[in-house]
Amino acid sequence: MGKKEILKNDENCAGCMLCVLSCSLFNFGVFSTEKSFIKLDKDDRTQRFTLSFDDGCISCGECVKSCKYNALMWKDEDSRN
Amino acid sequence: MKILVIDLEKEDYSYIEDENLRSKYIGGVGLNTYLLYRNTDRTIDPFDEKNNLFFSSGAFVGTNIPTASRCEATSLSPTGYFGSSNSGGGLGAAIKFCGIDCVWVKGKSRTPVYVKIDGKGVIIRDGSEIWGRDTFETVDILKRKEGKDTEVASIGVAGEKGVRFASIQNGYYHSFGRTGLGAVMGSKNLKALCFNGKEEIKVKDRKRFLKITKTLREKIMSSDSFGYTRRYGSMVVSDVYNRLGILPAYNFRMGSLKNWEATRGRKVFEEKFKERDFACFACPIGCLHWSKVKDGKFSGLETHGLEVTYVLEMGARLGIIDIPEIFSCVELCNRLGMDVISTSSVIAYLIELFEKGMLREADIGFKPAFGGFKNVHTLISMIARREGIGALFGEGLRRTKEHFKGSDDFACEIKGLEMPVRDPRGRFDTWTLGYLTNTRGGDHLRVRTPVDDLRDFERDYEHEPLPLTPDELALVDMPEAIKEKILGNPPSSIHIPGMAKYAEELIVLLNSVGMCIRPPVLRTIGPSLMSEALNVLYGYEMDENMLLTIAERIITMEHLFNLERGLTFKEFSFPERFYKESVDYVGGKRLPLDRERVEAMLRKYFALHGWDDEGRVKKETIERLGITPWKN
Repeated sequence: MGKKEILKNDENCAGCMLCVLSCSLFNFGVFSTEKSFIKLDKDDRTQRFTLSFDDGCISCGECVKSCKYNALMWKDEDSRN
Repeated sequence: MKILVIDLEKEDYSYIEDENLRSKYIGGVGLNTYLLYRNTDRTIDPFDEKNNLFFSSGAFVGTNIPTASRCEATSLSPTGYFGSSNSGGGLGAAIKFCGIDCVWVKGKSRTPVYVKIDGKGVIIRDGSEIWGRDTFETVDILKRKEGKDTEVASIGVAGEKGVRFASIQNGYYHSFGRTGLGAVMGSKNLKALCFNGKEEIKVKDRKRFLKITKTLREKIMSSDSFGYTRRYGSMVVSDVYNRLGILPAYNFRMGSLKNWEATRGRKVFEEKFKERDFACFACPIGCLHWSKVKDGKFSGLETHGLEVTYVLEMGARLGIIDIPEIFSCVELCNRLGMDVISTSSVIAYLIELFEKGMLREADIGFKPAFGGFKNVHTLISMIARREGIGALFGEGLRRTKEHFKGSDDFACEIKGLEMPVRDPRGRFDTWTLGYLTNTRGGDHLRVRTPVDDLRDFERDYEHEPLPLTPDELALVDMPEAIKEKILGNPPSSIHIPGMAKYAEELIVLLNSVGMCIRPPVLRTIGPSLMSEALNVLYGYEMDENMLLTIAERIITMEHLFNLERGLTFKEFSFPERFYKESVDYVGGKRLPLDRERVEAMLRKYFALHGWDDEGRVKKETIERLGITPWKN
């Protein structure tokens, strides 16, 4: 089966970084904004946020699980099962 | 635990590493209190170069423990006493990602500078380009120079000019607002600190860490206050404060305002201004909001807010009706780097002086009035820049009132700190007693109970009603023995002095681990859950009682610091207005406070701490808590 796809919605992102933290803890065992496969670009003046995925992302879904603002979701909701 | 020490005079830096400090003082306010207590001469002026300024992230900050974003700044305040302020956003985590827990700023630079900190060390850079600029411009420039993802703590013109209630701004919209720490930073010729580190943060026991984090998240997100805190943020209480009659309107002369809900209520904010939610680092609550003004003279203005403090201070205390005007005044305070609460207090006092004929138009340059946006806006600027009458009023209420004989009654400060929002005549509860017991002076944020509500009740000074059912109470993370002591067995009502002591310990712990104090956290997370998280993160074996003893030690050290600076019992008092005058509100009239009963409650609170009737700490208490007394 191919890699599951994670979709993002930057409009909903609140900039909390929980996805970045959860990714690096799950995949690297530490909290690291550098190592995390998901990156958050913040415009602090306007509080606008842009999410992006590094090539290394394995679609483990930790970021989706951690997001409480509906900014990250599975492309096909059923694929989580 | 790693402390970065920056000596501005020697233009040098070093590190202190000491793991024992974390187990004794945790981090955040706990660590800062210890460092201030041990290292600050009690006889100096707050602007003396020997004063110290500490920034410590909470022990959980940098991880994904929900709401763990908070950082504490602490110093000998320009009030003359213990000064400390807490802030969220991304700064606390940025400190941790530099591989440190705390920054200790010593000495004074000869010329204006800023410091750049990362995982490799510190660079002290020339600050002449940013000195004199507002905080938004400063952050813009420093992000351009040091990297877009740099977190910046900076001061505005008010801090440079020694305004005694100057803030340190955290990014654009967060503040270390209270107790004038921006003026201490300005006295050191330090315009800003920039953090941009990429270090990693480790977890001692990952499996148990995942479990406790899940528990904390579920507790916070299942709190009945979660939904409305996301939706309205702090604005949730705007309407009910009016109904209870605890607004500080026109310098605490009206407890409610007729058109309040229609003009400054939470629905108006939500329907007319709120655009979207945003959050501090690691926070699933998202109580911050981004707002936009869509019409009128401020059309197009986009900013953070509304926070209820803004609307209570600028809207009620100063009587400004129009929300865009409130946004504009708050943004000016943020840009100039001044605490919104103290600024409003000082201006309200100035206007009342003018109304009473104790200040003349010629003294000010115009006729100030409550509700007058232009006047307020101009006064904010004059105070920050110490221009005209602003030169005096930038000294804060305690010093300014010395120049106006007979004005003590309505100069609303406690222990030298301008007092905020809630009128104590409208509601005498744990929170109200906390205005007096708070070690940083007149303030509403350091004594917050996990079990209060906002229903009206009759004043009895010693007790407030318990709003929770036994089932709800069972969910509150509070040691059973303490529950029984404060609430009775079976639980019946809240003993105010007892709860004040517990509530301040709870806040000290939250401010030491770096979690938020918004209701979804305050009502669900207590010493047992915090000790479990500390244990799995750092490998400790702590329990809830050990944490509460640490909190008691920290509070006692803050209080000792104040006593050694000359604090006396008479300063544990509300301004005279509250003992002499009634106040009208929508439900009728609130009577003045009974001084004897207030003092009786204070003494009960002192006794619970092991302090004597005058608030002096007994020798056996110092010994029990293992505090080494300070000697100059």
